[in-house]
This record gives sequence, structure tokens and C-alpha cells, in this order.
Amino acid sequence: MQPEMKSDAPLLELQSVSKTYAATPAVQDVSLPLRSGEILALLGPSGCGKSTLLRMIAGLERPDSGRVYIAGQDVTLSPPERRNLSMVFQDYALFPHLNVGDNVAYGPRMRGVSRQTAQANALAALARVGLEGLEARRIHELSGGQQQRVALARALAPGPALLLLDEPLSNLDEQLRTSLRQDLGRLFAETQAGVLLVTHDQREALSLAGRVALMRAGKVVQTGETGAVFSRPVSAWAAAFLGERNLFVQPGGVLMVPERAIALGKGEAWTVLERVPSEDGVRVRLAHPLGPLSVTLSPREATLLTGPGLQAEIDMAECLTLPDDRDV
Amino acid sequence: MLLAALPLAFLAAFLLLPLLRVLGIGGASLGILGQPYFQGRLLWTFTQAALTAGLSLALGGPLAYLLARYRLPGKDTLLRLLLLPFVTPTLVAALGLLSLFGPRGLTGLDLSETPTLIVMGNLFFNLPLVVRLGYAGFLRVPPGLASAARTLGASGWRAAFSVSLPLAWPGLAAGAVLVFLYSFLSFGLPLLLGGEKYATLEVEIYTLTAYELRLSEASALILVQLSVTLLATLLYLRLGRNDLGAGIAVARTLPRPRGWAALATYGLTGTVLVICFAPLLAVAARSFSGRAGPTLAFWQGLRDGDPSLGLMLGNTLRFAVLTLLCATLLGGLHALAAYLSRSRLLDLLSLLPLMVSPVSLAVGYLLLYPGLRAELPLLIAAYTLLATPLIVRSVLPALRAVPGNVQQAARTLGASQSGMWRTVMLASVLPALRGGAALSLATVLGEFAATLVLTRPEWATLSTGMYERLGRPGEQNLGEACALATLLMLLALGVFSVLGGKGEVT
Repeated sequence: MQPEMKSDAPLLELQSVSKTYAATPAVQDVSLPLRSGEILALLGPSGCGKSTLLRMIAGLERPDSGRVYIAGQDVTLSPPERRNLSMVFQDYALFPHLNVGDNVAYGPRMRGVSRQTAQANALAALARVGLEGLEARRIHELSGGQQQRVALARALAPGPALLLLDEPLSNLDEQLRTSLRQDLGRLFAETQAGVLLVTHDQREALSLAGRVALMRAGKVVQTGETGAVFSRPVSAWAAAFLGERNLFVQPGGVLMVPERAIALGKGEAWTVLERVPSEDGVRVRLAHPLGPLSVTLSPREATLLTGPGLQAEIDMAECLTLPDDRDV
Repeated sequence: MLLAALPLAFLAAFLLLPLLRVLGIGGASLGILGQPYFQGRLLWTFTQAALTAGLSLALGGPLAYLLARYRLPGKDTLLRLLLLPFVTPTLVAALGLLSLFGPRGLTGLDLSETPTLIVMGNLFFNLPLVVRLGYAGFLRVPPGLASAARTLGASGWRAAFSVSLPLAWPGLAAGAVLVFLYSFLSFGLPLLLGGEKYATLEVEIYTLTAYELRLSEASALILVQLSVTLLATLLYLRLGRNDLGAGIAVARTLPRPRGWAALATYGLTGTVLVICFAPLLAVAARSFSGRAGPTLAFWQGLRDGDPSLGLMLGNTLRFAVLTLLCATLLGGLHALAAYLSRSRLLDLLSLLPLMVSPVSLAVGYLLLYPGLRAELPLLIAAYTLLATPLIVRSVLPALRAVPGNVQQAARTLGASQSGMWRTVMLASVLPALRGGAALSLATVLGEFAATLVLTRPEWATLSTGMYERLGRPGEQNLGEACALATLLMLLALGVFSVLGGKGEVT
């Protein structure tokens, strides 16, 4: 946990922000605080309104109602350039008519910094993302990963108080995404800025964010520290979206059986219905009376799979009963 | 390339040889370029073209940006309406301006034989070009870029100037160069509106060759004209290549303009609409109103006149259809050959007819083919020559825009080579061909320079009938000319509907 900066008002505060597009509500009554140095992930499926919310914070869209405060000031009606924030766009939005250095120097220049200082800022920002020596390149000469880094450097160069990222890694292939995720984590740890990360990728939120706000259909359905949100989802929909496989409909709600509640090698042996090799071992499904129970076995645990069945015992104290809102 | 043989032979016979013939006989006495009179002509031609290009850019550029940036009720209709001037015959526009600003004009303001009127006429034709090209250019700037500039601290103005403008600039500049090119070669407008004082090079060439038979002096002017248009064309092509191709247009919801943006948008839209449509309305109004009030006398006079209205209408339609057939055949072959051979030279050659003065060509026809002097094919050949580039310019980009993988997909799905051409290529090209066809038709309706040189009494068309009446004094003649212009305008409207949804015109 980062130490919180001493300040009365949070860096960013949303109060009942709503936005409707052509009679469809995109964002409904969202209130959120974000403090300096904090990293908050807005997590939700595509189309849930999280990008719209981000664009309203950036000043690229105007809320229909509600207020946006930055550093205690009401900026609801302020244009983007007066909000002292930076944004990394999903498709990077790099200027094709400027080279790498000029792209990164654009922000400082627009904030009235001299040309020389802006260039120096740009070089420093490029160094932070590991792109030294590429400042004279044209944008179209760069690979996707490099373009991503330039977009990041461009957002960091003005030294914003608030950094917004809109699905920053979604345009990259799996391998690049993993390595850039690590770099992002390092950059976030270095910066003083508050970071708001919009993503639909649970792993991204889990590995980068200190806090998570889970969004569904324009509403924030759960907020909290990342670990708490993942281990204690508020509903069956939230659990399913966060990757929980073992959800069983029961009278009075949905029973969630997390992996940590399943002890292997003890109790009754259940028939193995299916085995699928997965990246972290073997995934098996057991014919449990609750329903088909999914368990991921580490390579070591895979040695337990000798007979036709597998012993497993569920610690009911670790399970949660959740309201079923999956069809809403 | 066998396909290119026919179009190239046509270009040789009806462009290259006639031009060489005129220049050869004339022997181009370049000495006249030292004379103050001709220097004045050149300077004026240059000035009015540059002024038109500058004004089109100054008015059309901002409007294009605002249209691309904001939601406006009736925007599609506006953009479509702006195609109408392309298919309006020069004479109709000239007469419209005279109806507004001529002697006893509807506004009471007499601007005839002033440069203002000529530039206004040029704007009538060219402003829509810049608006449409600029609009397409601004539309292709990804919306995220301006947003990115805003989050980096740029105000709306600075974002427009530091990001959107540089990216749309090649398109806008190419539009301006095209406007310059068209205005530099303009003939009908200065002939009718300018009087001797504001004759352009093309008018001067016409006077020198058709009236005074001073071919060597005309040849010198033709050479000057050619070199300027050649330079402008090369510049145009170069700008097209510099296009950063920032992206393809994306459909998105735009905000409504507010404050100054709303003021500028509606103000500029109004200005452009007035410049482009007031003359057309004025012509129609004038055909029904005499000095003594509303009247049908002009239309009746037209009905009973000589040559008969039927003959003029029939000729106009006949020539238009003949030209369309020839131009589609030649232009289609030319585009196909350029596409298949990927030859830049063929591409460039197709532009040649746009660079050359139609008057000098027509004179060349008469010198080179004296035996055909009274034969219709000569006139149709001139029309075809001017119309073919428009077909090529429409069809070739459409062919090139068909993605290679779509063609391969068609083949893997079982289409034969010819089946692929029929089901994929032809289908993709048809809308563009429609646009090209409309422009070809418009060329015949509006062409005036070559017509004046080549025409014969029995080939009277609506245009020549109009010109003839304008040359005679009296209110009745002017009124009948306006009635003819209204008819031509209706024909142009018909052509306009052929144009279909969105004919890209460059």
C-alpha cells in the first residue's frame, strides 16, 4: 500500500455522475473518490460505460447530471486542457504528422513550457518507458508495443496529477501485454499521480490496481481493495465476471465455492468428468453433488490424479451465498 | 498493354496531334510575351485564379472543418446540394450572376465587367469542391487525435490548428490547386462577365484564333497556359501522395455546435449557400419576370423561335448520350489498363485533357481534319476528350480501393477470374462509374469553348442558343436566354440525380 498524501479533498471525486445516449443510460449515478498515489481500476465488460465515465473525467464528454471535482475544484464544465490530467487512449491516438519526440513534447508545449524544456521533458519521459534514442522516428515506423510506450511517455511528460488509461493494453498480443503490464506496474509505483485504469481484463486489474470499481450496465456495483473485491464479490454476476467458475444455484441464492475452500486429497473421491491441460497445471471437473466442480491442479497436485476419482472436500466456512443477478 | 491502345490512339489523334498542329503552324512567337498587353492578360489570369483558390480555401476550409466536427441538421442534404454546381453549365452560372448583379439586376447592384463578378462566378463552381474535399479530409482525421491534444493541454483552437489542420492539409491544398487549375483555364465566365478588360488567357486565345487568326500569338499563349497547368497538375498529384492517410472516416456521434462555433457554422453555411444557389434561383426568376412584371412572354418566344426549341433540346440530349457512350468506353478501358499495369504514366496521361485549352484543341481539329469540318464526329470527339478523364478519375480510384484480399476471397469461394471481375470488381466500380457518367453528361451540357469553335447552325444546342440570344440586344432576348438557362438547369438537375448518393468529384 502506498502512503496516502495528506490532503483534505481527494484528487478526483465523482458525485452522482450520469450520462445518457439516445435514451440509453451509459453511466448512471456513479460516485467515486480517488486519492493521489492511488491506483484504481474501473473494471467491467465492454459496453458497461466505463470508457464513457473516463471520458467525462477527462472532459471529453459532459455529464447530463452530477459533478466532477479534481483537487477539490468543480471541473464538471471545464474543458479538458484545464484539468491537469493526461490520458492514454486505447488506440494510442498518436499524431501521425509529428515524430516521436514531438509527440511526447506536445503536452509540455501546450502547457506553455519553452521548446527546449519541452524537448528535455520528452527525452526524460521516453527514457522512463525505455525508448531512448527513438525520438526522431516517425510514428508509422514503430511496432505496436513501441507505439504503446510512446503513448505512455506522452501522457507522463507533462507531469499530470491524474493519469487516465483507457484499456491501454488491449491492442497488443498476449506476450507483449504481459511484459508491458509489468512495466506499467513499475511506472505506476514511481509516479506521484493518481491513476485511473479502465480495463475489461481481470488480470490487469488484479496485478496493477490497489482498488477496483466493478461496473455493470452504467453502474458501479462494487468498490473496494482489489483483494477484497476478488475474494468477496457482492453477487453471482460479479463473481462470474471476476472469473469464479464454481457457482451453484441453490434455494436462497448462488453458492460460490472459491478454490481456497477446496482441500484436495481429503474426504470423498468424486468421479473426474473432464481434464483439460491449462497454463498453470491441469483443470479438472468433478461430479460433485453440488454440480460439476472445477478445480485447477498444480503440477504437483496432478499426481493425485491416479484412480478414476479425485478426493476433495469443501470447507463451507470459506464459501459465500450470493444473490443471483446474472440475468438482470 | 493492348487495352490501352484505343484510348491512347484517341489521345494521340484528338489531343496531341491537333495541339502540335496549332503550335506548328503558329510557330509560337514568344516575343509577344514581352508586350505589356499580354503580360497584363497573364497577370490577370493568374491573379483571378489565385484569388479564387485563396478565397475558396478561406471560406471552404473552415466550413469543411466545422461540418466534420459538429452535428448539423440537414448536413447530408447540404453536402449533396453542393454537388449541383459541378453539373451546372457555365453559361447558366454566368447568366445567374448577371441576373443578380448585371445591368438592371435583381439586386440593383451593377457589377458587370468587374473582377468581383468573375471571382464570384469562379467561387460558384469551386467553393463546393473545397468544402467537399476538405470535409472528406477532416473526416479522415481520427477523432481521438483532437481529444488527445485536448487532454494534453491544447485548447479547442490549438488542437484544430496543431493537429486537425496539418493532417487535413494535403487534401485541402490539393483542393486549392485544383481550384486554381480550373479557374486558370476558365473561359465561359470571363467571356460573358468580364468584357475585354478581364479576358483570361483562354478567352484571349479564342479571340486570337477564331476571330483574328493570329495563330502564332495564340500558340505562345497556349504554351504559357500549358506550362502553368502542367506545373499545377504535378503539384496536385504530389500533394495527393503526401497525404498521411491518417485513417478512414469513422461514423460517430458529433456534438451540436455552440457559441462561436454555431455562429461560424451557420454563417459560413449561409454564405456558401447564397454564393452557390442565389444565381440559380435568380435565373429561374428572371425567366418569368419582365420589366412590366410577371410574364410568360420569354417562354412563348422560345417556343416559337428559330432554331426551334425541339431541335436545340434534341441536339443537347443526342450529343450528351453519344459522348457518354464514347467516354465510358474509352475511360473504362483506360482505367482498366492503368489499374492492371499499375502504370503511373497511364494514370498521368489520363489527366492530360484537363490541362489543355479546349479552344486551342478545337482550332487544331479544324486545321488537322479539314475534311471533317462539317461532320458531327469532330464535335463529339472534342466532348469525349473532355469527358473521358472524369470517367477515369472516378473509376480508377474505385478499382484501386477494392482490397486484394476481397478478390482472393472471391476466388477461394469459387468465383472464376471472370466471375470475380463481374461479381466483385464491376459491382464495386458501378457507383463510381455513375458519378463519372453524371460528370460526363454535365460536361456536354456545360462545354462551351470547343463548342463555339466547332459548332454549326444545325447543331444548335441549348447552350449555343443561349449564347446567341445574349449577343442580341433587348429584354426579350435576355429573357429567352434565362428561360433556356432554366431548361439547362433542369437538365443538370436530371444529371444530378444520375450522380447518385455521393459522387466523389476531383
